[in-house]
Amino acid sequence: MNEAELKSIWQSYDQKIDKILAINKEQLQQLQKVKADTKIQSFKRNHVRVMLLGMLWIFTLAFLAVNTLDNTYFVVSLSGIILFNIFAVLIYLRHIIILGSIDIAQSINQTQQKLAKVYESYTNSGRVLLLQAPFFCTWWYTEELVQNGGMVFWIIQLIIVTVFTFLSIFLFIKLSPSNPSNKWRNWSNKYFGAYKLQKAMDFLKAAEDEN
Amino acid sequence: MEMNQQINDPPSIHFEQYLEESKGIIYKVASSYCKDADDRKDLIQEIIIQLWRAYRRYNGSVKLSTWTYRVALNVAISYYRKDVKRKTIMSDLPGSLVDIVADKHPPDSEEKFDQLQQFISELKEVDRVLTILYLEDKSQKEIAEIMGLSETNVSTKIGRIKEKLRVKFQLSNH
Repeated sequence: MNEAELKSIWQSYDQKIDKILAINKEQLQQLQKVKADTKIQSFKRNHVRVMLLGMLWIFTLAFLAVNTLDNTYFVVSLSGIILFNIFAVLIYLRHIIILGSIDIAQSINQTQQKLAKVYESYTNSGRVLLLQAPFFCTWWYTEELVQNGGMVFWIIQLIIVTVFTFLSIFLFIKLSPSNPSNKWRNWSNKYFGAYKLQKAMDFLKAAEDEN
Repeated sequence: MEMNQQINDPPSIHFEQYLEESKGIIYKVASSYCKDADDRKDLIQEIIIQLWRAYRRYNGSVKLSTWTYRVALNVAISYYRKDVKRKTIMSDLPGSLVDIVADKHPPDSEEKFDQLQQFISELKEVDRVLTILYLEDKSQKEIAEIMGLSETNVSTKIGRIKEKLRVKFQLSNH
């Protein structure tokens, strides 16, 4: 089949579309009266919600830390968690700004670039938040416990903290969008919503490939 | 108003009329992305909603048809996910925005069109977009504008796509 035939098949269908597709005028008028929601807006709204919850969480932790300054272990652990959460809130703020700058009538490449930026950052923020896991193992330590814990207790604690540290670093590396391991990437895609990122990245890669 | 209106000529027509003139673009984009009739209808509705939302912001910096392709293809690629239950405006509307009437006895030409769409749906995302625009007889300059790619890149890719389609048709005829 040659080029002209292909185009002819495609364009001959135009006459039929008028009969096939009927736009309901009444519904269209309704549509113009009500506020339309979009997927991107809902994604943005969820980001605002999570960001506000994150800020509330940070203030709560900060309040607890300030009021427990006599317990160094508690304050240090909470400070670590607070820092990770401040990072997440700032990242979410960046996402909201990028999402706000997306114009659906921009070129496809531009839109994909912005979406890839948001989804990559979204996946990475999830990965970074995993790194706070070891701090959740130490917040309950007290001076009394440190001095009277005993060898067995501290060996068990050391194992727990080490396991969580390695596990969080392991997941941080394995869940990277650039990880060549398909198994881990698929798992990440499934549970962390990186599918959209992968799709946008694949699109950009294919678009840039000229050879 | 013509869909191929001059640049810097903002839309002066009513949205309903514009939509009637853009039906072909919307339907063909949706058909190339969704084989399932219900999904296709959903995607068409989603494209219409996005067009309506963006229409008032159209400033005439590109041709209206170029603008329409950008919105329709962006929706098909990035905004539409058939696996996600979308909370859209449709829940606020009492009925369906579009109706798709199927022919009981499709002519031979329609079979070829279906076959062409099948081949398009098997292509990579970028190639799929390029094929739709190429078949619509858009110039390489306009395709580059819609896609945000260089004309050289568009030209190279279209050459490859034509070859792929030729092979697919050849294999299907044997």
